[in-house]
Order: sequence, then C-alpha cells, then structure tokens
Amino acid sequence: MVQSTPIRGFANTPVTKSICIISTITPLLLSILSIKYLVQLIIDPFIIEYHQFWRVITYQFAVINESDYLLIILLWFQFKVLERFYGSRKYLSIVTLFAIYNSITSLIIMSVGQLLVYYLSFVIKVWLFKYDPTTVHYQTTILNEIIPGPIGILSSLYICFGQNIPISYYFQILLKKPTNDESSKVLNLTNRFPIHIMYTLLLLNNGFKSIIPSLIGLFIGKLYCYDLLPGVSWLLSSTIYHLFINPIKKFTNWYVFIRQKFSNQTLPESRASEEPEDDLDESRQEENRIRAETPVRPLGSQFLDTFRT
Amino acid sequence: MFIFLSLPAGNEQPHSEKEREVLMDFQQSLLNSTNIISKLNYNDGYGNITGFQLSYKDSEEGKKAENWPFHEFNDERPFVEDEKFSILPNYVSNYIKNFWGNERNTPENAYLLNISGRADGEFKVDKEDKKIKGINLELPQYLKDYYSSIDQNPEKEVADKSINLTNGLVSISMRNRFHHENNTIIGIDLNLKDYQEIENHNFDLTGVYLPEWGSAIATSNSAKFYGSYGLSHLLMNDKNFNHVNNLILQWGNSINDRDITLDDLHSSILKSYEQCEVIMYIQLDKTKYSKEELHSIEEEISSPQGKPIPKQIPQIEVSNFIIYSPDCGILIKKNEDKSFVGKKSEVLNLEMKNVLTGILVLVSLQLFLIIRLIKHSNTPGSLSLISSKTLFLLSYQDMLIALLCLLLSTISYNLYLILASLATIAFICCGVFEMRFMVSVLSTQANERGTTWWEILRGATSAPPNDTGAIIPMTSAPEQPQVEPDIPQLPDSSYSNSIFSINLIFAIISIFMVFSSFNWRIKYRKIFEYIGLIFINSFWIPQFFRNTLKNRNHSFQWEFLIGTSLLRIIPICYFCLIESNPLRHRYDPKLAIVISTYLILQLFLLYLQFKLGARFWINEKFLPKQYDYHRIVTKSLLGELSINTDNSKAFEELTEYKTNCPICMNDDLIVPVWNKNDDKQEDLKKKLIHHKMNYMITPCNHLFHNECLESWMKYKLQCPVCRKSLPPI
Repeated sequence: MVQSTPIRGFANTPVTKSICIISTITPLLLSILSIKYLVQLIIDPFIIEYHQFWRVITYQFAVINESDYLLIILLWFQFKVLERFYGSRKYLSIVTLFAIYNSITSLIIMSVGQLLVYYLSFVIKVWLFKYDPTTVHYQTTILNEIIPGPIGILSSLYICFGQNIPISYYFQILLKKPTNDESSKVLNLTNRFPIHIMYTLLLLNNGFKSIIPSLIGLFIGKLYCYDLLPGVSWLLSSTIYHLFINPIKKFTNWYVFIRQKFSNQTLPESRASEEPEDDLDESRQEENRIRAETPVRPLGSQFLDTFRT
Repeated sequence: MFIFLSLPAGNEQPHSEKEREVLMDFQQSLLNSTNIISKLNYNDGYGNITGFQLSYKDSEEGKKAENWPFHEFNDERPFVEDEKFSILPNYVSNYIKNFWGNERNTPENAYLLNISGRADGEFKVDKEDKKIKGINLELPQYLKDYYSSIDQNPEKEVADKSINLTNGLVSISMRNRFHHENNTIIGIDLNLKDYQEIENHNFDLTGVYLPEWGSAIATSNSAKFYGSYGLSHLLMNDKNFNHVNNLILQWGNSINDRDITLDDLHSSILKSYEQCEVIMYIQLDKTKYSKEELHSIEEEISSPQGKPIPKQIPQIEVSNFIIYSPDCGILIKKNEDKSFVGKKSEVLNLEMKNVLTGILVLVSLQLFLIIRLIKHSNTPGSLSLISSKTLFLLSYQDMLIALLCLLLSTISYNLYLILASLATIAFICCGVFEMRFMVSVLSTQANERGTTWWEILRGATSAPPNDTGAIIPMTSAPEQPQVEPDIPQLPDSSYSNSIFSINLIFAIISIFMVFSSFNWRIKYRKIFEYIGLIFINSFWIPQFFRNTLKNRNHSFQWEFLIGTSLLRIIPICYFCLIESNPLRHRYDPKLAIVISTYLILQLFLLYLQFKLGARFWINEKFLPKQYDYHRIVTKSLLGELSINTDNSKAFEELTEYKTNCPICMNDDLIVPVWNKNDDKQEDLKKKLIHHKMNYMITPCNHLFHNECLESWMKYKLQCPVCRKSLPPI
C-alpha cells in the first residue's frame, strides 16, 4: 500500500489515533440518534435568546456532513507528524488549548461582530440613505452561524505545521514541452501540496460558515507561533492524557489498583510501566523547551521580551 | 420469497366488464356525494348521502331508503338536531350536547393544536341502549348484486358483527391526514376490547378535529354508510358547519375519487357486512399552556432544534367521549372512574427512540463481550469445553433482534436509522462473531461425533471403527500406511451454512409467532411469554451439562457469564417493571422476577460447579471411570509400549525405564516400572508417587513428559506421535 504520510499508520501517535476514532464515532452517533442540533453554534437564537452557552464547548466535537468529515480526518491524519514533533502529551495539550482559544474567540467575534455590523448598517441606512429609524430592525448576518467541527483547531495546527515541519522534497511539473529559446513553464510543488489543497477545500467547503472559523484559527495559530499566546507551556494532566489515549487500559489499571488496595497489598506494578512513558514525554518536552529557548526568536517574541523581563 | 411474490399488488385492475361497471358506479356515487355536500347549507339537512337517508324516527317507522326524501327543509323549516331528522336519537344527541364542543379555548389555556398520538381508557356500554334501536342501513342494490356474484360461498353466514361488550378497554390512535385553516382531518384507529381481550373490535374512522373547541368527531366509512360526507351535519349545530364542510371538500379535492380501486370497493363492501358503523365524539381537556406556547412546543418536538421547552409536554387528555353505532344501535360511554389519557405521537417516538438507544448500547456491549470471549478462548482445549447449544441460544436471541429491527426499519420512517444500525450491530454480533465462534467450537468438538455422552463422560473417545478393520482379512492394500482414523473433519463452511440457516429459520418462525401473538387474548399471550422467555433464557443450562460431561469447572469467563446474563435481563425487567414503557407491555413484576431468578439460578449452578467441581451433583458411583494418563507402568504395559523386550535378562531386572520424550527430545524421561514379583513393593510405591506426575501415557501407549503433553493438549487433542485423538484431561 502506498504510504501517504512519513509515518506508517498510527505508529506512536496515540493522540491522533484517538482523535480519528472519536471524530468518526461522534458524527455517526449524532446522525443515528438524530441529535445533530446539539453541536450547532448559532448566535441568534441559541446564545442570545436561550443562553445555551454549552454550545461553545460542543460545537468543535463533531462535523455534521460527509465532505467535512473526509477532509478533517485526512488533515488529522497528516498532522500526526506534529504529534511526533511535540510529543503526544504536549500535542494533546496544544489541541486542547487551540480548542479553548478558538471557541472563545469565535464566540466573541461572532456576537460582537454581528452587533457591530448591525450598528454600522443602522448608521449607514439612517444617516446616509435617510431611512426611518423605526423601520430598521435587527437582522442576523453572515456572522450568525459557523459550521460545527474542529475547523479552527485544524487551521491553527496548519500554521504550526508550516512553521515547524520541514519540507522533505520539491518537485516540478512541466506544463509545456521545453524549448530551447525560452524557459519552460513549470509548476513548483513540495511534498506539502496535498495538505494545502485539503486545507483550502476545508476552508471553502461551507462558504462563510467555514471561512470565519478558519480565519480565526489561522490567527490563533500565528499567535501561537510567535509565542504571543498565554498558557503555551501548559500541560494536560497525565491522568486525562492516559484516559484519552487508552481509556480501557486506564480503567483496568484503576480496577487493579482498587482491588489491590482492598486486598491490602503493596503498590501495583502496573503503575511502574507507565512511568517511563511519562519520563520520555517530559524529557522530550524538556528538550523542546531548551530548543525553543536557544535558537530561534522571532521578531514578535523579541519585541515582547523587552517588556517581559 | 414466494409469499412476497404472490401477494396481491394492491391496485388490481378490474378484470371483467361487470367489475368495471360496478367500480364506475361506486366512484360516481362518491363523486355525487361530494357534489351534494358542496351545495349544502346546514339548514338543508344531510342530502342524499348513502347511509344518511333515513333519520332515526324514519327507521323506527319502517320507511325505506329508496323512497327518499321524506322531509322538506327550507329556511322556515330548517334542519335541526332532532331524531325526526337526524340519524342520532334524541337520547344520544342530548348527551353529546352536554359535553361536546361547548367551551372555546382561552388565551391562557388552549386546546392541543395537533392531536396525533395515542390514548387509552376504559368504556362501559350505556344501559339505556336497550331502548335505542339500530337504523336499518342497507347496501345499495347494485353492490348487493355484485357482492353475491363474487362471494364464493353465499350460504355462509356473515360473521356476527354486533358488539357484545359491556365494558372494557378502549384505545384510540390518531394521525393527521389533512390540514386546512387550523382544522384538521384526522384518521382514528379505534380499538374496543374486553379486559380478557377475548372480543376485539377495530374500526378505522375518519374525522375532523377543531382545535378552537378541543373537540373531535369521527365516523367510519363503508359502502352503506358514507360517514365522512355527513360529518358536517353531525356537529349538533351550525356554528362550525361552514369550516368543516369546507375542510371536507378541500380534502376531497386533494384525493381523487377516480383513485378508488377495486380493492377499496371490496374492502368497503366487506366492512359494511362485517362491522358496525360508528360515530365517535371526543372532547379534550384544556392544556395549561397558551396557544403560542403550544405552537413552539409542537415545533420543537416535531423537529428538534434545541429550543428550551417545558419539561412536561402536554398530553392528550380526553375528558369525555361517546361512541354511537347507528346500525347496531349501541351506545358506548366513557368509564368516568378511569382517566383517558395518552401521549402525542412525537413523544411516543422519542420514548421509542430512547428505548432503542438503550438496546443499541446493550447489543454493542454484547458484541464487545463476545469479541473478548473469542480472544480469550482460542485454544482447542478451551473451545472443547464450550457448549455449542449455549452459543446457539445466544446467537438465536441476537438473530431475533436483528431480524425484528430489520423488519421494523422498513415500516418505520422516523426510527429508520436507529433500527437499521441496531439490526446491523446485532447481525454482526450473531452472524459474524457468534457464528464464527460456534463453527470453531463445533470443529474442535468434531471428534465427539458418533460417540455417546457416556464415552465423553469417561473422558476417552471410543476407538473409531476403522481401527478394528485390521483384524478383518483384507486382500487389498494391507500395507497401507496407517492413516489416522479420520476425524470427520467437515469443512468449516458447511458448518456455518447449516448453523446459520437453522438459526435463521428458527428466528423467522419465531417472528411470525411473536407477531401473531399480539392478537391473542391476554391469557394465551401471557403463557406464550412465559414459555418463550424461559426457553430463550435457559442458555446456561447446556453449559452446565457440558461442564459435567467434560468434568471442567471453568469454561466461559465470569465476565462473559455475568455480563451476558445482565444484558439479557435488563430489557425484560424494563418492559415488565416500568409501566410507561413505549411498547405498552403490561406491568408484570412476576414475569421479571421469574426470569431473573431463573437466570440467577443458572449462574449459581455454574458457580457451584466452579467451587465444588463440575460433577458435584452426581454421585461418583454412577460415573464411568475417566481415562487415567498416569497409569502405573507394569512389565506387560511396557511390552505394549513397543519396547524391545528381547533382552529378557535385563528386562527382568528392570525397575526404571529410561526413554526420551518425543516432544522435547530430552532423554531424561524416567519411568519406574512396577514389577509384580518384586519384594520391595513399598519402596517402589513411594517411588511411584514421587514419579507419578512426571510422565503421561496416552491411550495409544505413547510416553511423554507431563508438562510437554499438557502444553500440547492446549492446542490439539491429538497424539503427537500417531495422531489419534486424545481424551481431554
């Protein structure tokens, strides 16, 4: 079988594996139980009228149409290189961080933006076109609804991918038969071009409903890469991480632990097996920290560091 | 397949000229009726509608419908609700006027906007009905002639159509058919039965619901009684006449009278012979919500968006109803002591969906357990312990679920997705995993074919008949290499095919039984439930006997045993103990307790086997002797072990026999030999006990290390040297 990514399958990328499984099962369940409406984020009426703020959390969990599903699964699959780059636990932390930032930013931009658009249109209509103020009513705009799914997270990861993962190879496609007198027309491509194409498709797949969260995600990714995002060094707790990558094993461990506690025995041996993984992760993270400290300091962080001290 | 192909298509074309003529006449009479009511006012009376020609009084006076009209109506002498003009006797219409359509909705408390749903209550037949006589409704002559021409056995008495009930259960399920200007044409399935469900009447009514008044009226339709066309005159007064008449006309326009097929004609003739005509008046209670609130609730439950709605979705609460049959002259009233309530169809749907989701979870858990079981017991040793009958019963249950869901998914529109996925998972569970597992179990146990359970109890397999063949003098090919007495190894596919087809046939037959049992009277249904549930829940019994046969106390994992039992008990308990279950199964704690105790008893038996040994319940004396792998080696046995006994002197003095084990090839296998003539018997016995666990002798007289053979027997119950089948330890 042709290997489309540098990493075979889900080798050593447990977080990506879990994400792909969850992203497959959740839409199926939503569709079977016909509860797709639980993951829709629409400002008016859900947020404004009904105050259903839980939608801000749920909307990134699942996509609700097939083409979106295909694109996000392929992108997650490509971005597993990032999981290798950061380390699994750090990667999960970053994804969580992006999810939080994206949902908060989206909510603010959508609700405030919609109000601003309304006031602007009100001002323009009343002052420039001399409308009767009583006839201008609040209307929903394109900022009212965005498509459910982890589009913002993937956009931020897309920036990280471009920033951190080196290009493996370039290749050219000749568009015309080369002649002697003039340079032939070629298309310069890198090994990343499928990612670019898939991302562009995802960006445009639902019109404004997907462009808005994508732009927000790109912005947050850029901030992250310039080290301007607070809480970058935050790490998810190890329990949640293990629960995420292998819930059955975690529960079995707990079960064994409780049983041994009741039968008054010494510490379970299974804990020991987890330790090296943690160490590995932490040492990798330490490495990352050193690497991040020493060489590259982009302009933004240099600028900001002068105020930090 | 044949049944499906030979079913009538439903839109049969008329075959003969006569049929076509009759059908045309019938269509024409319906069309005429539409024309008649389109011109009518309330004051004009029913008009010449089939079934409405004779008023109650006219019928009492013995007039004939052919001589219509009997009364002249005009604005000076208008039609009024009186038994002189109306088909309802005064006693009935006065009663109706008391409760029906008197109260308009108020801004705070509106009536339901949409009454599709199902409600249940109790009825009693009015004692006054002895005074009420039925109107003699006659089938039009052309239909009578037609019916006697197609009826194969005209001398057969028409089934007794009268309602002989005095009290019982009534249930109505309503659905919307057509909507116009707030008012709705509804279809009602009315069911009347007594408490024992011996007598059971079903009626298909069409009617009108007026949300403004919270009242509904419905009539049956047949070839002798065009109930729908008289609806607007059955309203008691003229205040809603125009709305209803309009509604009926609109509805009539939306369906084409020419679409009436021969089947419809036949069924309406049959109905007029076999059923009483009924007119039903229903009055609802007001809800506690306003019209706007009801509207938004309606919207949200029919297409959920996440809009916040009150927890208590309004129910269908019938405050009073009356059923009057003009031709049978029977009057049925509400039993005032019992409430008559029901749920809206969207709510019923939602409840059904929740139950199905629960079953989906249970089936998925079952699948998970099966996969774990298969992973766990993958060696022939463990497979030979498992009873295939247990697996068959389990997979039969899953197959039943899969087939039922598949069948229901084709007829249910709203629950299609969840039913289909339920069918898929149940099918994967039984058709893929359980079947595969059963095939591997059966092929492991193939060497038990043809042996009696007595032989299995002993632990040894009988010598296959091929073995003795050597004694019979055979001329041909005497020197053929001794092919091991073939275990009849059938290919796996033949197993799986036969198991699968048997399972499928059983499941299909049971589905037919289950569906027909819905129409049985309650006593028979109860017996069927008990027997059926006890039968399909006795899946651990075969395993109990299997354990006894094999003398093993642990076959399935406890996780699987307890998990599966729980998964099978939960739905039974739910339907028996929760009264408001959407399948409307009766409250029956006895059934739940019986089945749970039965399963727990089975588990307890298995537990006893686990603790006390598999054969704890059989006296040792009755048991045959098991094959002993640790036989004491005597001289004569050594001879059978095909050891060179030429050197008789050395042989005589032999006390220990040293050989190599064919599995590990180490030549440290030392077997003490018991010499009968030896004096130092006591010494040897000690030695024997010391050595006993060190070697094993197969029935085919081959020697192995204890550990070597045991580890081999986990994989195959065959002698590694001569490939004869081995009795399990």
